[in-house]
Amino acid sequence: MKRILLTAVTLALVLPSQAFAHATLEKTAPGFRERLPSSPQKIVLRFDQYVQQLPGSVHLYSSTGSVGVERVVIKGRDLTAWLPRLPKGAYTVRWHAMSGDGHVVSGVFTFGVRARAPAPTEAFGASGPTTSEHLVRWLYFLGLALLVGGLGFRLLVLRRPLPARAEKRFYALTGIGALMTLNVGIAAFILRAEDALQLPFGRLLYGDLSPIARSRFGTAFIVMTLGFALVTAFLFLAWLTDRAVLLWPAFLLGLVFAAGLSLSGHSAADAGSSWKSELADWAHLSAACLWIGGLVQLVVVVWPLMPEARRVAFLAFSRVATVCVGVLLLAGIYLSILRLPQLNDLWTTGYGRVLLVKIGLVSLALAWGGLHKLVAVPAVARGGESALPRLRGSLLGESMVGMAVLLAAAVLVDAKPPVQPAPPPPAASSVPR
Amino acid sequence: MAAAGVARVSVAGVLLWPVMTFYTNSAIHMLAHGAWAQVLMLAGAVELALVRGKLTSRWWRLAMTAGFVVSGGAFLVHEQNAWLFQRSAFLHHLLGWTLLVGAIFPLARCLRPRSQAVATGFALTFVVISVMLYCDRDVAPVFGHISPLSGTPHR
Repeated sequence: MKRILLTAVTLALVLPSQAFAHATLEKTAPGFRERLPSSPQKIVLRFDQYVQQLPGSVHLYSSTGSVGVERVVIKGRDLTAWLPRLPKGAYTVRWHAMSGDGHVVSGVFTFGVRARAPAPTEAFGASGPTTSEHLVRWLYFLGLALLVGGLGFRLLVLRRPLPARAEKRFYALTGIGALMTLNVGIAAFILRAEDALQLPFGRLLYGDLSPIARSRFGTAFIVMTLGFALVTAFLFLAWLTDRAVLLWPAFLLGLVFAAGLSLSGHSAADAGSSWKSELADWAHLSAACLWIGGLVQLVVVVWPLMPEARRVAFLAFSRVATVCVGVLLLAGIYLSILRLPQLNDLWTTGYGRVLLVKIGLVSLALAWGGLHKLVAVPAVARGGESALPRLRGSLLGESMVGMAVLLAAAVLVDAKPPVQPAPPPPAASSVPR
Repeated sequence: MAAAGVARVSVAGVLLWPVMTFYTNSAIHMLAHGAWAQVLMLAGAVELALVRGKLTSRWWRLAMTAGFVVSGGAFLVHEQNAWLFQRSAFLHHLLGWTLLVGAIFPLARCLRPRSQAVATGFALTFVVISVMLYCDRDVAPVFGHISPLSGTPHR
């Protein structure tokens, strides 16, 4: 009986899906991002409950500016806006309505007339990524590095059982990474939605985010949030049960779900993207996370808490880091050539200039890492124990530069690469008659 | 038995993530569900760790108190209408305050972990909240609309 009661309580807690007090948009005509063969006569928004009309309930924008809506009527649960004849192009609809409980609900969606409709994050009025978004993306990368890099370090470098204090600190660092990944992901989604909806925060709280959730970015957000909740659960179970084997599914799932960034960013959406660019982007990100996350574990866990393991861990990490840096460079060069086919794009475009800053920081990190590889590793391998205590500061410096590289990467991801020239038309002789 | 109970709280936290990600028709629901998922996951995880001996300080039980306070706060912040505006407004206020007042039980468990009265109050809070959550569903045939300002029932 008790078990049944507890199960019922759990189900009641996990199924509060209908507890919505205010109006929810059920469907629209035209649909989200629908491509229409001709101009629609009207826009219809159907809600799950009755709504009241507000001044300017429906605003329509073409790619050049506002398009007057002829009249707006409310009938039952339908809010209908009658339109003039629309020429070919992409259109953005911004709507507001007061639901029965007094809350003003709002939303945005796009459609195209004989043209492709942009994603809602590129709707008319959306200004694009802001400084806050750069910062949030950087924190997301740091969270990923702490989580995935930390797990990789534990499984590939520090494979032996750890002393209790070191184990505790390892789980604290990776746990912080997991919570950062989940929460910063939510913040990134809300910021992107805020830009698309163009609403003050109070109104944004009742804004309809479903068009953004249905975009490529939104799908990646949903999959990655669910995936990293699962990774967090595995990490917790590994700690709770003292079974390090459970770190393997956490690590592998972490690597798999990190691909959500590659499958929703420039490497997947921009001209010239293919499975190769997506794979390169994922390898680039994963290698960076393993390198920087491993450095942090080395500095924060091994050096202060496991002095007897410093030598072995440093030499083992050096081998893993060499592979990571190789992958990072190869993938980075491939992606740079793909996105900036002209060399002068590096200094004539905003994207190129950010890339130059990133290349400068990567060069500094590589020089630092090279110094470790060429000077410190042979000394430590020869048994030079005196060098070990001094290495911590140097490793800390290298990880700081790595974090600065991630900041440049965050700005780069939010920047727009230059539009690539269209491929030349086929030669006359090759055109079929 | 206690371990099975807290394991369910933790599982409920994990399973609230799909609710958060798939119900994106308003930012406030997404944020409330996200906060709720995390505090449930953390509170359940802490209770499991206490049962298993990974955590020893009784003050860790404050995580459940924090879970109640955050959940109650999420309900109250989300609801901007008065108590008697309509059924869901009434229940949102009631749920929020029940959770906030109910937070006294996990708090008392820190001080008196063996008290049967405190344990019973803690368990009953979950039962009461479950019944309220059921009533909060827009299709639940209880209460109906309270204020004429909230309009006719829409289902």
